[in-house]
Amino acid sequence: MSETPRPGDDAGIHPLSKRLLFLDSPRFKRRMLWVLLALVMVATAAGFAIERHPHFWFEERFAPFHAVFGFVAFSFAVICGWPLRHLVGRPENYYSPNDDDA
Amino acid sequence: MLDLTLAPDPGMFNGLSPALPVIVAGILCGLIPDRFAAARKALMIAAPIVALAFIWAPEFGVYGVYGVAGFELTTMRIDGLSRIFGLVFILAILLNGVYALHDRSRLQDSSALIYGGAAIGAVFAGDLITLFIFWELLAISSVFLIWARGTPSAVNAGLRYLAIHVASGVLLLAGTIAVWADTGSFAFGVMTSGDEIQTFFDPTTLGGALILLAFGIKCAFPFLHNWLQDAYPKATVVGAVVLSAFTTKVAVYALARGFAGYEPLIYIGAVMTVFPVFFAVIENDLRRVLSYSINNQLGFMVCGIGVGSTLALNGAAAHAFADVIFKGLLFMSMGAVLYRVGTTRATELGGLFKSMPFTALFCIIGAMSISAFPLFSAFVTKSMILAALAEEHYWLPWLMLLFASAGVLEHAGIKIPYFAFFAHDSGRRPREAPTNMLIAMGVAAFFCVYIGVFPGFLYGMLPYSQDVAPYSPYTTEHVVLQMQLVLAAVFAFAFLMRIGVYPPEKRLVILDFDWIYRKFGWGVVHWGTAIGGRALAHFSNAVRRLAEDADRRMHSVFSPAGALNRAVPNGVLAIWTALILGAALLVTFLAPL
Repeated sequence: MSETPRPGDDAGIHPLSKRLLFLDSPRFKRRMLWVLLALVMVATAAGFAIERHPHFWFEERFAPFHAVFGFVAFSFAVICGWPLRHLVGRPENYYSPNDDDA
Repeated sequence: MLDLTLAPDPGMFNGLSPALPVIVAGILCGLIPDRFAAARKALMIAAPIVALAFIWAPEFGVYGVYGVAGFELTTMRIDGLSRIFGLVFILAILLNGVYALHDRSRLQDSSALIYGGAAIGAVFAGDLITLFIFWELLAISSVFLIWARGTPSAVNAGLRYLAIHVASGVLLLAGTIAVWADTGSFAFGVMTSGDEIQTFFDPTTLGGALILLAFGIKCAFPFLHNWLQDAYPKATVVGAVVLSAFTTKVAVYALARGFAGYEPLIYIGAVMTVFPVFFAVIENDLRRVLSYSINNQLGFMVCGIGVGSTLALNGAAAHAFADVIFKGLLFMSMGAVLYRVGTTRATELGGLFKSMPFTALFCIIGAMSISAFPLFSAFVTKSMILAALAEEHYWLPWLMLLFASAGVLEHAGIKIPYFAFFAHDSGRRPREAPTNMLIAMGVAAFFCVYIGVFPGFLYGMLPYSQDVAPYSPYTTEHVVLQMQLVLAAVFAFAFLMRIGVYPPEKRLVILDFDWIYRKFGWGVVHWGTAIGGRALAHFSNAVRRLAEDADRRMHSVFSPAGALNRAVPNGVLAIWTALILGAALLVTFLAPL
């Protein structure tokens, strides 16, 4: 079982992880958003530059199809989570006491 | 006369099934006591290596044919399809053996080997009866990996799992008998080549439909899938890793063997890829998220089988091979978290990369593999199925699979590593996973990258590798479009987290179709039992009242104080009755024959 020091406490941190603590900083997370946006823009721009062999009309007529589809599909799946959880979410003991072994 | 010069070479093991050494090792493991646990562990490593030699030795052909009770059982039919599944099962058994080295459960060691051996036996089975035997052995041996957890919910989930899988076996047996009645044969799928691929069983016949249903249960078709999300997350740390490899992939193999090119499978597979995405988003237990992810990936394979072209079938087999490894890796990483932290609830995790960096790294490799990032395994396998769908102009299933590709990135590619190892710091600082677990994860991660970088390694083993031009995953177009998809999806995650739209994890149980039998069905049985009990009580009371009434009436007539006794006393009546009976006997005795 795990020991539970206070968050931010260095005790128990693996030597390798000490070099990676920047991953946890809010500043890094903010920057990552912009880095990812830049990467999406680059990939989308590259889509215009390459020779493509689309199979379907929607790929052919709309060059950034994959980028837009990826964003919309992901967002749709996530946003559907809100109503779905209200619909099918129940307390952990719904089936029987101590049913959840997670 | 048989020309022996044309007979394939069975090799040094005389064509014995590779299932044999694994199952025998499993039985021995069950007999070796804990004080010799090291011998057990040695067997778990040695058995798959010996099995590999059994596969390597023979040429493609049919061996190990035995007559049992008037039936001819074919235990070793090796061809391109059975070989690739056999090879990945052997790799999985080996990795599972290494992963379980720290664990001293005799029951688990034994059942893991017998279960793996049964999976190998099923893919090398050359007839339906042999397939049925290993099909049932799969169910019976694997349930102990769930029961070994020892909790009441694990025991109950194991019982449900066993009931459903035994039912699948019964359906397979019924289908086998029906097929035999129609055709007089127990044959199970002969691999055809090139353009000749066709559905082996006819699903419009009774036998074909029953066999498809049996395969569909094990393959977790929609509405038949809940045993998977119910049982796998309740298995032991090692058990869930072992379970993730075999049952569903045996079903994929069986579908590829028996129903390649059956078009409805395209739509069944497409639905399988899509619906788990929505459930996985809101699921709190990360091992259950992975179970939904199994459904999602199986959908890709089922789709490929439904298309039935050589590219699609190669894609289905290749994706099954890759999936066994990357899904095993993801289950291993969550197993390591469960082992060290005691839970896989996302609500109780976070920040574990600070003390488990290697587990985090391997989990990320598994996540990138399943998400089909270039240079990782699914990029070179999943794309074959999508390309096959596009070639055959199935635009709707193609769109559904593309949606599912973004969806799997959400739940398996980001949610699993992010909520376990990053997200908010839970403050937990568990030790890194045991060395044996890290080695198993490291080897699996190596294969994830190796297959992604050198796809020729896998493509050379595919069932139709000889019949078609080699598939090239690393075209500029494919790399750029796939990067568009995955980067946009990752950006969507970061964006939705930033604006607070991503649903926070909550401690809930998510209802799925199993509600029908776990709650509604159980309620109906409970109600029926109560109503039946009351009806039985009313019936008993009515019968008792009738008997009492009859007794009272008889008493009022024949008792000493009864009506008959008023005219003639009882004693006199008894004497007259005895005299009349005696006279009747005398007459009967003296009467001539």
